[in-house]
Amino acid sequence: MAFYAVYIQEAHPSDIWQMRSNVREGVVFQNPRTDGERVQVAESCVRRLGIRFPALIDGIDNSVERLYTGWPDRLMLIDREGRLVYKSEPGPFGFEPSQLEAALRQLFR
Amino acid sequence: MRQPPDFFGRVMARTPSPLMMVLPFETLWTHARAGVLHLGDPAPDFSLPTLDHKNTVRLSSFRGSKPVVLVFGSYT
Repeated sequence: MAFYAVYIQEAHPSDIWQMRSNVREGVVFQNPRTDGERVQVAESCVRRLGIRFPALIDGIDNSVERLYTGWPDRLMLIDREGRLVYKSEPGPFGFEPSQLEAALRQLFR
Repeated sequence: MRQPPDFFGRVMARTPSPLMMVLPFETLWTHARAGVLHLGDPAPDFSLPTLDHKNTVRLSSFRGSKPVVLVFGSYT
């Protein structure tokens, strides 16, 4: 089983669509313009949220986000044959880890 | 959604809050972000660096050996 966070384009950067809740929590970042800036924000994200599984960084061209329509957040499960077997609805409404858990149980049954 | 996320974000940032109370936003959002991938489709291959840039992970390298979970997201 491989488990990866795919860090993608920010959902609510301060210069585009800032949310009050992010301001309250001190999570205020401008939209990264370069790969280096994106890595800096991603490092803060992983460190402060305590993400323990490996993180991959989408390029500033957002190519992988576009392939998977991952923005703003989304869960996917791919089976051993390389086929998509679970795709959550788009976050935030559709980001349901319990559904992923059910899909994993189904896969390993 | 055919427009890129930052275009969408700029539009949403200017959308009056009362309008959000009237529109069936969740339904519209789910439709707009449906994407083109369907269950059973081959997962598009990609190769991305790890956060520390010490390794590169290619999705297709897991084919035939183990399932893969992808958690897409950002900080904000």
